[in-house]
Amino acid sequence: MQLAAAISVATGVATAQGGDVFSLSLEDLAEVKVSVASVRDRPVREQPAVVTVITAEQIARMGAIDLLDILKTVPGFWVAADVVGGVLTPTFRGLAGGEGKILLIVDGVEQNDDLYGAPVIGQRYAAATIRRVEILRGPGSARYGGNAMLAVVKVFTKGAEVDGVEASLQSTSSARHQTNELWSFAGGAEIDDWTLSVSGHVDRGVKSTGAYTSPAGSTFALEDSSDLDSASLRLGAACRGFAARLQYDDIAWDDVLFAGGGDTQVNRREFEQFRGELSYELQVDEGWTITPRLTCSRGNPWGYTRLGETQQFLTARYQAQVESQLQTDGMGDLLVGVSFYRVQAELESGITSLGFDPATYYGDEQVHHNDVAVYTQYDFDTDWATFSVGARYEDHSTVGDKVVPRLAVTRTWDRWHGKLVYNRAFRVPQIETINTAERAGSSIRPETLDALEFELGYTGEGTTATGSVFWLENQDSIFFDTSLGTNGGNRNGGDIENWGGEFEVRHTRACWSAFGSYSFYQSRRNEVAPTVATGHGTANLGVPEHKGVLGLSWIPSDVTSVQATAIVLGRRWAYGYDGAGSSVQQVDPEVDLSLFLQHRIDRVTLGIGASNLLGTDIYYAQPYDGGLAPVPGQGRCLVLSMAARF
Amino acid sequence: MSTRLVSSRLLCAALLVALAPFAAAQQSPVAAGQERDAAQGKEYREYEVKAAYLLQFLRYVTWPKRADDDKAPLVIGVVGKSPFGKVFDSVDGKEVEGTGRKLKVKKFDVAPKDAELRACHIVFVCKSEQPHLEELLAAVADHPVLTVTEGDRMIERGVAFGFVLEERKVRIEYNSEATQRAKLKVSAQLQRVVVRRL
Repeated sequence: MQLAAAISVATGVATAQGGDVFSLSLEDLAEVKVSVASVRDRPVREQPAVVTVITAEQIARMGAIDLLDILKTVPGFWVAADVVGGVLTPTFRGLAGGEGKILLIVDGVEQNDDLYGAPVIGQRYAAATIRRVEILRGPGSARYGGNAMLAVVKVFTKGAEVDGVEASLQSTSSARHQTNELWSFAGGAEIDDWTLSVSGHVDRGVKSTGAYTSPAGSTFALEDSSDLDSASLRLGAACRGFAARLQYDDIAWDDVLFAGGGDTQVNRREFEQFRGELSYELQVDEGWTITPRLTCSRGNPWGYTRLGETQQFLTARYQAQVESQLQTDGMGDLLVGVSFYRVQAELESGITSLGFDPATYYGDEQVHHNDVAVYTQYDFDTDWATFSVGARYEDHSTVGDKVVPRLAVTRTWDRWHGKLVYNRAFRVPQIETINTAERAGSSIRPETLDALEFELGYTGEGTTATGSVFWLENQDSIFFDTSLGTNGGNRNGGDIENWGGEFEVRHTRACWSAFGSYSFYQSRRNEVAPTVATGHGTANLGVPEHKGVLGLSWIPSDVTSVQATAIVLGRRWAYGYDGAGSSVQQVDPEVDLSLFLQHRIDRVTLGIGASNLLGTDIYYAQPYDGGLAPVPGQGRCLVLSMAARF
Repeated sequence: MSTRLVSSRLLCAALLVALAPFAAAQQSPVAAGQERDAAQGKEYREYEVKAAYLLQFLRYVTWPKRADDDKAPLVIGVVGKSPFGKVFDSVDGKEVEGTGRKLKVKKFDVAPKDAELRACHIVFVCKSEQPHLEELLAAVADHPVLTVTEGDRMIERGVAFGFVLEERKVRIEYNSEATQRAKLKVSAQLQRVVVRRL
């Protein structure tokens, strides 16, 4: 029986075609095609890019402490350390993302610092405040600009959906030392037309409990010389299309690495950043919005106190952006945007022995650059596939202009999907990258990247499986050349060509779930000498060629879960002490096994577990020859957590 | 010279491998079915179709008798930031044929008190509330409430019905354990359009 008259009231629900959807039978509903609202609302498998989404529930089950723990489980990602206090930044598909190559966005606001464009992670973004992480595993420059050459990580913090406040405490301890104590909160409310959100954290801990051996051979313990403090506060308010955000965060830690343990006192690194954003979504017509956005960022990134001298940069970035998004029925979705930003810096105080003297460095003058960009993306569906075409033109006042296109084809059939994505992407060097180049007498231009990706996926019966292969070529790669000028400097080097694959399977049943992933890359060509693992085949320095992640969750009830997560890394190559001096050394394979149990009693959730259960020696390596030996991570730790919802 | 050449070959090989499944899929019966749909020229907005499904659920699911059955409206509760807009406006408050009862659509921006949830016949959990899906399900556990949400693998999290998008079509996934616990009877006709069952 047709159900055309099943609902007697089914009249007058207008559709774009003038039909009546409430008059359709169940069978008709199952077959009717829908116009999907926008690119943003597409299911992951239909998005015109290789995407990973991690939910708050997954984060809670794995017992993650911060964003670093989450990114480690994502195919293609790993973490590298740099000489500046062992600062941790992500790597992706065999390339370092430390300087302006991986864009980190929190609640729509870019987080990369304004001196180098670095996404500094690690004990800075509390996992308990995160509602969702979306990772664009591939270049995003056409949409997101010059800091998104390799990938884009979008973090959404908890807010009004909490309807109240969640407060949590996570504590980790090694056998002899409390390694971390993190207090966090998140919450919000909807009051009349207003949606309010707030989140933040305070963290005290150490970066590592291991021992560091410098390239020169001196060894010292970090347990008492890597104290770390961080804090953040994020506020949001939205009402009838208007939205405002304020974000503040500060992270500081003891640094004995830079001086190789040779200084008579412990030095200190600090990042402090304030960001604000105002936007208004103007509904011009049904399906057409225009959103102007103003963003202001001020900070003191890369601060350094050494032997009584202080180095402090003051940076500011002012951005104006307007986006028009038109969603049509049958004609596709069109995004057009224009952006202008001014970024500026001055050196308030400097450490003269490192070449940072305000009197000579910027000549007591403020350095600034302007950048203007126009970009577009057009997504349209056909019966055969969904196509996405986009491009960006960006003109930087100092390093020149670039045009980058992107093209994606997404096809779904039955439970399968396939994606073919081509991107040209670029990295705009930021203030200090340009400055060190000019100081050393070299000119610098944007580096570019061509990437081709193909993903095949299956969804069904509680199972999702995806496999992707990629090829990328990074041209005119920018790197820090220690032999340039007096103190070294950045310059464009040659090309790097990598290829590889990422495979992920997830199976979920009512009371258990399992997931596994494997990713690998091989360098086919690397002309940037300081990043080559000379004599060791197809690896780039500091980045593992092979990574596997295995997870198994047992969920006996709605309130209890137990999860074991294992991250298995292949060997890496990095500069280290070889008994006589510094040379390329093997960093052994690692297995980082964690176990976490959580149980909810009414509004309180308790957790207990262990990280690095096997006590493996974990290291983060520098992805180039820059004077830093592999930095030890945390050893075996007991993890305790408690969260309450009010 | 040779490295560049190999890169071009690799690029071509990757393109060929990538296009192969697309070509295979184009010849499949599913693809042929899509062409028929296109020829019909009918296309609705995603949430119009999902709203229509919710109303069909009221007809094809049987709830246990309640004392107020003869007079009380059939209630659909939408919890979270509603994506339906004004889709329900033309049917809200009007009679659902075959039941003699009116439809009532209630919108809760955030999760309401348990008693309000339990008073609904259908609870649709919007994406904004999915982080707290387990708590919402706990609130209506063992009560005759049909829980519905959208997104991949949601029935594994305990909802009775999950909407998923496949080839731009709204499909239904069904968790029979959830409806059994809620003492709801799902008709065979509705079960026939389910694409995945747990």
